Amino acid sequence: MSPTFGRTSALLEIRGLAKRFGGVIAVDGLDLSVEAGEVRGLIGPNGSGKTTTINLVSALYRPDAGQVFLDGERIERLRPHEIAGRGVARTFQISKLFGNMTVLENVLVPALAELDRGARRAPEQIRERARRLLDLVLLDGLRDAPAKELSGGQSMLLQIARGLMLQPIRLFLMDEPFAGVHPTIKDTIMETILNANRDEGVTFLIVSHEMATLRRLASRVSVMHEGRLIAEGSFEAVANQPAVLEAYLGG
Amino acid sequence: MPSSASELIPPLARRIGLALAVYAALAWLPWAVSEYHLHVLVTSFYYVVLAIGWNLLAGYTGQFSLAHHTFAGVGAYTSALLVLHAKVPIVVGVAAGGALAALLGWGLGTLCLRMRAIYLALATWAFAESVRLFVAVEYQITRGDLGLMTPFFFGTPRPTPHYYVFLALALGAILAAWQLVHSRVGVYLRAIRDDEEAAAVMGVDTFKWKRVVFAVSAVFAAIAGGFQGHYVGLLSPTPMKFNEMAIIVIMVILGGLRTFWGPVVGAVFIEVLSEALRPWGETRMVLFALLVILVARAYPAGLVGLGAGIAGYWRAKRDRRRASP
Repeated sequence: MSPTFGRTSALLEIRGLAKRFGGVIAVDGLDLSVEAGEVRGLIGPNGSGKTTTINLVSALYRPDAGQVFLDGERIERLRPHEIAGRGVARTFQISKLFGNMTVLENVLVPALAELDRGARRAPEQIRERARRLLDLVLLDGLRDAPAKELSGGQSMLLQIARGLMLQPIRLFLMDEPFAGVHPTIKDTIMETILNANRDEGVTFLIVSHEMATLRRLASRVSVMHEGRLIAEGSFEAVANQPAVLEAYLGG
Repeated sequence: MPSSASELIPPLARRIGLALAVYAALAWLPWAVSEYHLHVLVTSFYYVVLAIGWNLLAGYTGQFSLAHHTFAGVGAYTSALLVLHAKVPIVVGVAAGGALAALLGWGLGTLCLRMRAIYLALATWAFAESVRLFVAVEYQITRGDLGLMTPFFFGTPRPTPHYYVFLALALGAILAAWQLVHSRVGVYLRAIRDDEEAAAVMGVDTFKWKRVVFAVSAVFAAIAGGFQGHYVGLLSPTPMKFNEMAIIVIMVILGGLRTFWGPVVGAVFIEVLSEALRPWGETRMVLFALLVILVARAYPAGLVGLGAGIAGYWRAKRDRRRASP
C-alpha cells in the first residue's frame, strides 16, 4: 500500500521523485515542498532537472519513482487533464498555444474543458473572466486574432491568461516565463503573477534564470543540481552556500 | 426582449429548418437531369459524407487516418450480410453496420492514442489492409472477389429514389458535423490538433476526445457505406483498396482541409470532374495527384479558401470604391 501518512500543510509536496531518460538521470530523488500561497522560485544550472520536474508534476511524464502530493492527495499517477482538474496550471518555455485558434478561444479552452468534467459555470461568467484576464495581460484588443500571429512575449502573456482560466486555480507552474521577453512585457507578467497571488491566493512555482526578476517576486527559492535539491531559502541565504556556488561555477 | 424572430428560434432548430429548406430546394433535380447525372450526384453525396467524416478526424483533430474507406466497407458488408442471412430490414442492417464501425473506430482510436503523424497513418493503413484481406479471403462469408449480391434499398438500381436518401444523408452529415464542430467539443478537437500536450495540461481529456472522433467518423463512413451497398447492389473488396482512401484524401485537401465546407466542395468537385474525365481512365488520378500537390504547395486552404480569398478581395475593392469620393 502506498504511504499517504505524514500529510503536511504544503500545497505541493514532492518526495523522492526520480526520472531517467535512457542513461541520463534527469531527476534523482528530488524532495521539494511548496506552501499554499507562496511564490517560489526554482533555479539551478542548465540540465539540473527543473523543466523535467515541472513536466512530472503536470503529468506529461510518468516518474520512475517517488510521489507527488497536491494538498495531501497523491497525483503522480494521474493524467494531465486530471491534474488540471485539480487546479494546477502551467506555462511552457516554448510557445505552446493553439496557433490556429483565436486569442479568445485559447483562453476559453480550460473553462470549456471544465464543463466536460461536470463543472457548472454560466457562459457569461466564463466570457467575463476571459475578457478580464485578456484585459489584464493587454491582449483584449487582439482577442479575435489567430494566436500564431502573436509575438514571443505576447504568447507568454496568453499562456499565463490561459492558465489562470482554470477555476479554481491553486498552483501555477511556470517554465522560464521571462526568457527572451521585452522588459515592458516582463513587468506585465510580474504584475499578473503578483495580482493572482494576492487576490486569488494562487501558489506559484517559477523556473527562471532571471535572478533579478525572480528576486522581486519570490520570497524563497529552491536550488536544483543534477536532479536533486541542494539548497532552499531566501535569495541571500542560498546565494553564498558552497553547494550552490559549486553548482553554478563548477567548483 | 428578442428583437427578431431568429432570436426566438434556437440555433439547432433553425439549422434543421435550413437543411429541410435545402432538401426541398434540391428535390426537383431528378426531373431536371438525366439518370446518369443523377447517379453522379448520388455518388457525390456518398463521398460528401465520407469526406466530412475524414475531415473531422484529420482536419479538426490532426489524426491522419488511412482507414476511413474501410469503415464504409464494414458498414456495407455488415448490413448486406445481416439483411441476407438474418433477414433484418435494410435500415436495421445499416444501423448495425454503424454500431460495429463505432466499436471498431473506438478500438482503432485507442490503438492510435499515443501515435503521431506517420505512425498513425501507417497503423491505420495496416488495419485497412487487414480488413480488406479478411473480406477477400473469407469468401465463404463475404464471397470475396466473386462479389456479394445485396438487395437494393428501393428494389431497383435506378438512382432517382436513392437520390433522396443520399441527399438526406449528406445534409444530415453536414448538420451533425456542424453541431459537433461548433460545440465545445469542436474547441477540444482543434486544441488537440494544434497542440495535444497543451490541450491536455489545460484540462482537455485528449484520449477521450480522440477516440470519440474516431468512432464518430467511422459511423459517418459506415452509414454512407451501408446505404451505398444497397444502392449498388454488389459488394466486393475492391473499394476497400487504398485508391478509395486516396480519393477521399484528395477530395478533402482539394476542397480545403480544416475548413468546414472543404470536404463538401471537394467531394462534389472531384466526383463530377472524375465523371467528366472518364475517358482518361486511370490518368485522372495523376491529374488529381498533381492538383493536390499544387494546392498543398500554393494554397493549403483549398477551393474553399480560394473562394473566401476572392470574395474578400472583391469586398475590400468595393469598400475602397465606396470610401473614395
